[in-house]
Amino acid sequence: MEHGWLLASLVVVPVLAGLLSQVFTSREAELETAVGGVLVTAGLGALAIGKVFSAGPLFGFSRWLFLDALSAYHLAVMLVVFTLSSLFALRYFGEEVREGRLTLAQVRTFAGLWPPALGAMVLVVVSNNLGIMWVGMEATTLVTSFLICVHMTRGSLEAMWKYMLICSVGIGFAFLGTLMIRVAAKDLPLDPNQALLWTNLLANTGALAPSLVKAAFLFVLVGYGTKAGLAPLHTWLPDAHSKAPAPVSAVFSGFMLNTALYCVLRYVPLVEGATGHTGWALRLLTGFGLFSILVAAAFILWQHDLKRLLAYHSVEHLGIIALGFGLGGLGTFAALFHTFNHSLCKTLSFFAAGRLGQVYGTHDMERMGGSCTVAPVWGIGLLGSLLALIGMAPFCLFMSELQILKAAVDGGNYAVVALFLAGTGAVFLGALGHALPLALGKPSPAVVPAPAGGLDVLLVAGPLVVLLLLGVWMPGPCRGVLEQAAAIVQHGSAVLPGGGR
Amino acid sequence: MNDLLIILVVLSNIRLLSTSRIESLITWIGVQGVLLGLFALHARWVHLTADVFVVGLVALVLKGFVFPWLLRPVANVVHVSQEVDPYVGPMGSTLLGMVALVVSLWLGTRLHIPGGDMSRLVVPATLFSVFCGQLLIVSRKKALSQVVGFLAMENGAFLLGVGTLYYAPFLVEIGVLLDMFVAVLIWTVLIRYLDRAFHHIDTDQLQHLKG
Repeated sequence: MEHGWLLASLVVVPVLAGLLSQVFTSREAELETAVGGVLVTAGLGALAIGKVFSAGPLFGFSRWLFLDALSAYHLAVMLVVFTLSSLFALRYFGEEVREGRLTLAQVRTFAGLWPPALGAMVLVVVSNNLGIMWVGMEATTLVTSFLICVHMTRGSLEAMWKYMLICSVGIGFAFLGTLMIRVAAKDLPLDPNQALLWTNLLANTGALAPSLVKAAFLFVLVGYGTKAGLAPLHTWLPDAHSKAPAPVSAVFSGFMLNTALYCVLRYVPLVEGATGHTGWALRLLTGFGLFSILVAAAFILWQHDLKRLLAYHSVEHLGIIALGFGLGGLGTFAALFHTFNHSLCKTLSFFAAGRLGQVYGTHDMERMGGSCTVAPVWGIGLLGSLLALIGMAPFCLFMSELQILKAAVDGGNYAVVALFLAGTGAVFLGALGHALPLALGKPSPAVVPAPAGGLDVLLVAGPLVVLLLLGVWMPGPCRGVLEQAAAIVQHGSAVLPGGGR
Repeated sequence: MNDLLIILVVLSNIRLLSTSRIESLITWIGVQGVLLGLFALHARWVHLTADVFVVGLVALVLKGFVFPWLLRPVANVVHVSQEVDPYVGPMGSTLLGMVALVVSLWLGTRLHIPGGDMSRLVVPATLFSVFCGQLLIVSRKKALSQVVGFLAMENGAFLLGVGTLYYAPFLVEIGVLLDMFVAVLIWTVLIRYLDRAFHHIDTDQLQHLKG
């Protein structure tokens, strides 16, 4: 039961931190309380993750909450992204508070919603109950919607409207899918309170009606796929990412999309088990993945706005991750590896875009030239992260993409290989054309160079070093974690350390 | 009785498609909510325990009364009474709805549901509700009409849950209803903000963000 409280605290602590932040009347204290709540949650989360990888899955509250290798891995990525983004939020909003551009009400909106957004995302990954998982996913939409318009402008309101409408409708489809899975399990001799538990469904996949499970997966894929930004369901994404404040964009792109894809992943072993491992669900993921890469490539080539460019990179990389899962085998491992790589890289790139946006007063790439001269730390951060995003060696994104490509070649999927190379090749050329002038071009004389502090250097150097290191060397324990998580997507159960199941 | 309630829900959906007055849309989504609340209580009557009763009652009160009560003042504040120039008018929507109803009935016969203890109308009615909700969202331009469309779609999902399962975990159902409640609260605030910033709530004109 103690594990239950540990898992529950990961949801409760951030929500309480959000509430607590509202009692302060100083803008700095509100921000610090919100960030403090995230840091405490990260500590608790690290404890839980450590237990999972040393002693096996944790369960609590009649098995309604659980943390296995797959959810622990996603939780780890989420906590890294949230911790970094929270530290960056201190820097980003601190600057605006100092300049008097952020009112108490705006800070209060952010501080009140930021930690609960983490709580909602944690609820998704620690839920064994597919219904509660859905509730958590819808809660992420609701909690984060007002985060988009911390700076309330016409653009941010428009983005929030599209986000709320498109994602709510999408998530509505996912709810239908969730119900269909429950109906498919109707005849199973399970306690009704336990019938929606993923672990129970997984143990009984052979008894689920295949036609109903297939229909359920279609609804789930379209529903959660909308929230994950898979093309052609991604239309809300560039608007929301570009209009939200940079720390929020970083979390949107760095992890919220992955949370939605995680929900789809939970259904994959159920569908594959119920349909006799024909690869039906995997083919759908492959199709969505490839289409997302190609659509994103087209938009990246002709992009002018830096944050929209990064948003389309999210569509591309979520497509790459979905493709990896769709290919299976090494592809699953690589897709999970790519999840971390993309999340860390995209977090850094949104930090840099946000901070440079403050310095230049615009996100129009044609007016943001010479960032390495104007703000060297963030300029290098942006250049490094853009090069990593387009798959430049030796960054780890190159390695994970190479593994996905290898999985496609090994499987003899040459059409997939060709389309993947065409899409990522176009992105490489298109984004490189944007990245070089951004970094090395001639800055406008009107732009005032911005000094960088110790936190800035840490926020840029830390992720860049990790992205480089993981590209050339993966420590044994990291490989073990990825293998355990991949085994859950493929077979539903992790291989425990020591060889047992 | 269950079949009668389901048929009334289907008819209320057709009514939603056939009107372009915002006031009427809000009234009829409320009527549909009451019907669904009654259905939730009646369909599970033989299995009625305290938590099942609470879920049915909360659904009836929220969907039938609270949501319309929250939406109606918004329509007054933003001075919108009618969908003036929808992409598909009430007549076209109704005709499309008729076709969708036939398709839903056909699809309902194709999808096998385990256990023969439920009305055969549930699945077609669910699919039809989802279609009607979608049609309202894509064919109407006023933000309020689209919110009503979203609620109609959610009502379809609710119908499937209640109609096929005598028992769904209390926390899940209450969690879903709570999410809906918060979503409607956010819509009402957001639509007021939109009206203040743009001086209209025509979503077809929200086109500043492109590419």
